[in-house]
Amino acid sequence: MTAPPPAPAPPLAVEVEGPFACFTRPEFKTERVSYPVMTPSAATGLLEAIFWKPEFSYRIDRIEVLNPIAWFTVRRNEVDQTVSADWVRRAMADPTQRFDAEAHRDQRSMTGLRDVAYRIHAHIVLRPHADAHPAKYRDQFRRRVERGACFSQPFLGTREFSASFAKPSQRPPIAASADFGAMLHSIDYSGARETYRWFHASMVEGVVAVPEHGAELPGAATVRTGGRG
Amino acid sequence: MLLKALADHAPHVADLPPAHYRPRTVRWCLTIDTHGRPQGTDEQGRPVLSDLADADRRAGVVLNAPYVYRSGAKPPPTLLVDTLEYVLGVPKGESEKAVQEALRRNTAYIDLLSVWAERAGGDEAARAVRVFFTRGLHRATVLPEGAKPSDLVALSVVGHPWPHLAPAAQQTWRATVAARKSGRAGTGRCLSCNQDRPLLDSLPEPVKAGLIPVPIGRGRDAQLVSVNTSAQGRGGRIQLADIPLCEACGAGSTAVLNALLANPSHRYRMPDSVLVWWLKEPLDLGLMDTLLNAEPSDVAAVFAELERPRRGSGAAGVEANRFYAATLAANQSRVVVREWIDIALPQALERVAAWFGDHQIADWRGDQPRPVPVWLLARCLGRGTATAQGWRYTKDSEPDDAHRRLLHAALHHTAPPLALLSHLNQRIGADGRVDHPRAALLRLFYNRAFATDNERVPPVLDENRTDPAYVAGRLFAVLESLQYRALRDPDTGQGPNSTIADKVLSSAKSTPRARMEPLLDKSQAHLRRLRTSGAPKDRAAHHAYFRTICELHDLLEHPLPEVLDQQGQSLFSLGYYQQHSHDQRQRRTHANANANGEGTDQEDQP
Repeated sequence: MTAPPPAPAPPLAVEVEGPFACFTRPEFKTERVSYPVMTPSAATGLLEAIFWKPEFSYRIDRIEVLNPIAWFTVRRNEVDQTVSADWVRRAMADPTQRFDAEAHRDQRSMTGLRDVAYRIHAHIVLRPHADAHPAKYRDQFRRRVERGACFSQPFLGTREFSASFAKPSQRPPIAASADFGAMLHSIDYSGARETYRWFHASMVEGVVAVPEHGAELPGAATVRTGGRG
Repeated sequence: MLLKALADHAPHVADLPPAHYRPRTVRWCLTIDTHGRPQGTDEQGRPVLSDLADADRRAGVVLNAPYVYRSGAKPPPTLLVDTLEYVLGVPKGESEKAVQEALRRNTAYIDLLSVWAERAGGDEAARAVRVFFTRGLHRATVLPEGAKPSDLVALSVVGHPWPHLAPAAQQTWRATVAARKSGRAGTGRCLSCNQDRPLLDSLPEPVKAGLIPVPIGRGRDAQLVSVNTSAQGRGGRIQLADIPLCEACGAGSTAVLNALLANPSHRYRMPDSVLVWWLKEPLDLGLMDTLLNAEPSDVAAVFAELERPRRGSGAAGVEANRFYAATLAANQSRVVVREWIDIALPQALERVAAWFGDHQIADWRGDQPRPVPVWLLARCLGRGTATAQGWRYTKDSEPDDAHRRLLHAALHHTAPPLALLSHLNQRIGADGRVDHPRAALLRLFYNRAFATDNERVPPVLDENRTDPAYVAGRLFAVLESLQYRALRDPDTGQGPNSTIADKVLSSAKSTPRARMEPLLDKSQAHLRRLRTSGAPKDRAAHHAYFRTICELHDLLEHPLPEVLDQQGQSLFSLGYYQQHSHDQRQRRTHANANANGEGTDQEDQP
């Protein structure tokens, strides 16, 4: 008699919603245009805002879209520079140093989403040094969701669009299907430089299935880098 | 998404310029023969430029010419067609710096010509051009009066077509642009098309200035994808360093967008943005033209396409086809995508058909509901004036976003924003006028924003509707008609110069009871005047008006409403308009019956 295959680990699920969201497409990151649905990397960040431990990471299984996709546009004043380490050193040395936002004004438009609600389904993946059973972390996560606890305020794509979260309900996904093209799957921060992974995203009857692994772009490690390089 | 949909549309764009070419206005032409000798010379044998401008084309002729967005301290040349500064080394000023820069540009231009000549091999035209510049004859060329260093000049070889349009020139120019614009990015997977291809450092071509409206003045060239400062890119990196785009998606999308924006059949310019649309597989179906112009034949075609059974290969094509639309604005030199629509064609057809079903309304002149084009629905939100040719709306007096909001509502099958409704109600009150476009817009607002299925306002008068606001509007129309009929001149048939609608429509539709009860009192005098005039037609009219007023009172379960909100005011105005148009149709019917000898008394109608 052969042993039955191990039962799949029960997934985590959480419902998030908010009045606004922007999951910026990479090709329109200056005058921002959002993907029509939440990206897996945004979902991971949101879960980590609720509960994070170095012993595990989240793997997003699927994202259910619970509200019809609706858009808004807004134009805001921003600045055209980021704070550099060099500028911080100079500011520390010279207390009169100031950043003049008016001199670096940059108006940017955003085409974002409004009235969004998603149900995120994810698994916990233990890291090699973890010595506890994953059920421990799942239970911790669920308890935190039930009492509304979070390490930092979860947000929907950009920090100014904060999210509320709750236990999953029985709300059905929207009855819509669409092809979204290449979507950011995840960002790997483990190396000296960021590496981006992508997948071909499509929504079938309101559900975006997320593959376990995204595809790295050829030459990603050498060419496509983030600010940590 | 947007970029891929645009790039994929390239095969369907007629007269799309070659890669990295665009229509440019060329003022001058330098013509040489096949031996590299100038065709036109002055008395001293120096080459002379010929002027391509004439009375019809004062700035020159428009040619597809090499073009790439160039910037920096040492902007590179374009192939064959460039400014006088590049082609002939004409400096922009008299300073030594300007002279040196012109010399540098001219040298770079000739170097690029050499690359082309080598690639062209034994091409006679390329050899002739090379000989001309090698001999240095360009330095002796006489400048025409009024020529500016920034004027474009093209080269022409006798007996040959434009050399810059020859295949060798196209290949050379494409390779040159690819080398300039994708030198650092290398090869990789394009985010847009998911293919492994050479990637771009920056987009070679911008959207042409003027194609995207800007609120003040003429716009400038705008980049579709732009990362120029450290705060815009990931980790402070600029350009396309973190946006893998291949040449086909990056350059192709802009070229197609330029072509679509230049085509009136594919764009609709609004005060603050432009809508551009296309079908994945082009069909002979004016979907957007139907919305924008509302020609009856176009509307009928949309309904016919929608109702056609979805069978056979052609129908499968419609099912698989997609409708794309983007609303674009500009922020300085960056394109802003305000909206992107990507839906199946049948869904687009349904939305357009629903748009007409929700707004079209019967007017005074016809018996059938008539649709209104989007531009007129937007325009009627503005001011108007009575001219000798009739009522005319003043262009640009409508809210800037009216066109965009209405198109959004049409393409998304949603209600327009209520801010526009309050604007419309305010304009109706200020002008004392509800005409066909305004009534259609009111019906659209009411049916989409307020009505459930059984509360929808039909396109013709609903004589059984008991909404107090609607009945009040109808009653106001009858009182106005009665006043006009009772006070009209018996000789000329003209009524008073100003009616109760001219005076109190604005306040009557917001506070009906306070305004209309005095009018009801006065109507007794008008009825008495008809009753005692002695003319049989007046007495018949008295009976008709009296009966109609009583019937309308019977529809009211309570006194007239005290105050009406935006929804109620819309119903009031709709009742007012539909009662008038209904009465007009009735009069026309009776007049026709009398003309045909069927003997119904025309005046037995209010």
